Amino acid sequence: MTDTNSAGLSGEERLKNRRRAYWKYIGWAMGIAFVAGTVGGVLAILAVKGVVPAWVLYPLTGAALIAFAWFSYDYFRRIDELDLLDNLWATTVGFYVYFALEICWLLFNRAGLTPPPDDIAVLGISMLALVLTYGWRKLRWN
Amino acid sequence: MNNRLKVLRAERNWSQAELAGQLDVSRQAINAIETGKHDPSLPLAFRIARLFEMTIEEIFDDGHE
Repeated sequence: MTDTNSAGLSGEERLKNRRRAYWKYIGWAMGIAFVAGTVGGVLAILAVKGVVPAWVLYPLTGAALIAFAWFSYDYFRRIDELDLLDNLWATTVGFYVYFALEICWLLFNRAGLTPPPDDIAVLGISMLALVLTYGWRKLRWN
Repeated sequence: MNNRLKVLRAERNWSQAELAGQLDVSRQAINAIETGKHDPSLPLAFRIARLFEMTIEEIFDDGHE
């Protein structure tokens, strides 16, 4: 988060401004996500009850995905290279765990050895791997 | 990769936060570079070199002669 009006400020003041801008940005993003999630949830319930047409969920989901993609891009553009690397490590490990677990479980299921893959369990384990990897990187155990 | 960042920073009496602010990175990034846990990208290495008015080779050492 480069502060363009930071000429003449000390490095520590610039860092403080940078941190403040970061948390302000995160606050806004969380607020917008909360409002969008609440509105989306209410609309989804209304669609299930038949109050609003079900097709409303398609553009709603599309808009949410576009917003998520834009925020992710913008966020990764703002953070410094170390945090970007931490995020890349975490998402890569999360994806690999998801991919490996899903494929293995599916193959075992096809062989008649296990029940079908539990999507929620696979997603949960992948997210856990992602969070643990991010924590491991943040604590600089690498 | 070895580097002289901590020494150069100490010579100027700068805290990690001061250096981080001048380079527009987090304090954690400075700490990770100083402890050798993160090798900076080429653009950041150039910014560091410019800030200390030195060449990259005078600050970073990859162990090759």
